[in-house]
Amino acid sequence: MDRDSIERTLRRIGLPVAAAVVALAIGGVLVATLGQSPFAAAQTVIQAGFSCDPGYCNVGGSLTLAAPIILCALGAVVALRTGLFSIGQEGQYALGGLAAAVVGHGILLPAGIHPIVSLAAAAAVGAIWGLIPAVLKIFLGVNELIITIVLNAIAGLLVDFLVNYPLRAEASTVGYTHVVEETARLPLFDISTKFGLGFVIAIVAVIGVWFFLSRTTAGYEQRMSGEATLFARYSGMSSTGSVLRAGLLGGALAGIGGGVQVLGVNYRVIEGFSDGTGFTGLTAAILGGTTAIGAAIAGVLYAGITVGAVNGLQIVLGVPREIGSTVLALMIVLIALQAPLLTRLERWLDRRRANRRHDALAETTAGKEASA
Amino acid sequence: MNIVADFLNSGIRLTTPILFAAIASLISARAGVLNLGIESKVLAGAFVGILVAAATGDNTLGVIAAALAGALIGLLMAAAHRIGVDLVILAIGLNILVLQLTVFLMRSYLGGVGTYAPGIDRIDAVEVPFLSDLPFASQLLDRLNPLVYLAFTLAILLGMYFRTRSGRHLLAVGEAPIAAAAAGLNVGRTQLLALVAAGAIAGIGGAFLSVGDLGFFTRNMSADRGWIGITAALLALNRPAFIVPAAAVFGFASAASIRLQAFDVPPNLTQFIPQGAAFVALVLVGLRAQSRGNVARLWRQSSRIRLRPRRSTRTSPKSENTPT
Repeated sequence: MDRDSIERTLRRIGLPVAAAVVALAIGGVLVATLGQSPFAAAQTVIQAGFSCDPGYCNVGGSLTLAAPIILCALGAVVALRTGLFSIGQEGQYALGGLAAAVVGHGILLPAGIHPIVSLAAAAAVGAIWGLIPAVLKIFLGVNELIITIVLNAIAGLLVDFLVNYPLRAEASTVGYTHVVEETARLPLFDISTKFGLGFVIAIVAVIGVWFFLSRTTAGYEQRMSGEATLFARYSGMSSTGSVLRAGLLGGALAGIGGGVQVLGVNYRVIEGFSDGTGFTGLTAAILGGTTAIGAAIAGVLYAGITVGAVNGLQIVLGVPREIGSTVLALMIVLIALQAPLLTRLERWLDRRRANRRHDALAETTAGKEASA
Repeated sequence: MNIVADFLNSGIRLTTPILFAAIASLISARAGVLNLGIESKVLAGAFVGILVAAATGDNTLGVIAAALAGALIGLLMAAAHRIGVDLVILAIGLNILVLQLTVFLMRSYLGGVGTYAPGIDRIDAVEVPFLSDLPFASQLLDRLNPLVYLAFTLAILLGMYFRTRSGRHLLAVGEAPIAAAAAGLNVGRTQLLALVAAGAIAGIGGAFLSVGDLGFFTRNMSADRGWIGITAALLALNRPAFIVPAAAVFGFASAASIRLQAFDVPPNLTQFIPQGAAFVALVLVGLRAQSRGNVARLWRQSSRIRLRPRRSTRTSPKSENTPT
């Protein structure tokens, strides 16, 4: 790596990190106004979110929470990188979870196959829901961003309706489905935090998406149809196919996210299942620079801070747990704000370097002319 | 108890905040900015409104403060838009931020876990001189405060505004920013004013919820009304003439769902009607755009997420929809 690229990498990591630090500082000030030391608060968050004792492993809880967020984030990564600006992960997540609950309860299968079939159903339903905006975008020119807002609302309503009426388990104030069969549940490594196969599935998906986007021909076509549409079209790649694939694949990933949450943690779908996990995944994807690995890191960070704020700050220090999500939201806002500033800074640096080279070149030619 | 009057009354009261949000969304969309941050402005308005109303004891000041809070978020979005920030991401961040921050502040300083009830009086209903004495009309107009009338007046004023000179300029900026700039219009300033106005209107919508209708603040009080407002504006095809009926479809659908619960009809079944209608409307607009060229350009233009160019910044063409 030459000096320029090292400098560029530093800038591209440095500015977002600086934005995150500013967000943390504002969070610290908020904590300080309540009479608590911000450093003690930070320590508590890290301890409650990422530590592991033999008795109770906090990091297990964080990773359990991270699994559906990462899967939704991957769905967003695949869609965004292909140029399908879908924010429909929320709806795909909700319907995928419901599909997993239905198959997990309604069909009797042996233990090894049941979770696979249930997750396949979640993926299929998520993929169908993800395909709708892609089809409408390509064949009717409908704005996918706007239609996914409506699709999210419809999916949320649909889940709440189905959970309350056709699929309702028993009479109670809140509607919920039947519990999924024992055979359909994902195996757990740690009973107390429900840390289990769900996170492993998320990590496998991260590697899969990274490999697909960065190391395969089809993934290259996906990225090119998003980043350089005209180039892709002139070199004979089908952008129609890429967008449809992005809709299917992104929807399937977010659907599996819902399935993992139901089969690994909740075991049933309760009214209000669509609680913003898909949106969290979308923001994690953006924070992670719309890369698979970055999305995974952002997802774990998200989950850890959330768990740390609930188990640490609120219970130990008495600081309301919303501070965790507040700081995360501040990070999103500030990182969104720094992105164009970074572009401007780089453009300015490039221009300065080009000018300097031009001057140097002019000097040498002038010197030659003078000597001749 | 007249059921019809009661139903109409609750329908109008449920329509009002959605109408405020829909007008805010419409103004932003027609100025060429996709504004997904309405939710945060409504919630901020509800929170700031009741805080100021409780502190000063004056509901009018509360409403004004709510409008200022919404306008401030609008100003932030406008400034961010000016330097080329991706507004979709910023808006999603702002929505989460306001939701969490209001709960944090409420729990930290106001002592409420889920609700903050300072014991203020709601804004009084408007007494219409002659009608308020009639049996049917009095029930119909019960609890309808000035903000309700303000929402419907704003919808009419907006339709008239789009026929004025500066209204036409706003539409021109939204439809073709480059052409508008070439014609000498100040694109940046127009969009800034539109976003600030949209923020103020959404903020008043929030104040209607807390100060106006209920007299207390609850966690996530806006409850997706900002998003519903955006959808209502879409259902109205972003035209002022359709904005009241579109918002009313949503408002009366929720009023109907409350009524129909007595007959064991699923409560959110009626909500499918407006959402489904919005979906169909969007598809139809797409169909029409397909046959008539670029009618939907307005919607598409403002919503391109610009992902950062990954390989080289030198070769990246400047996005054409960020006028500088």
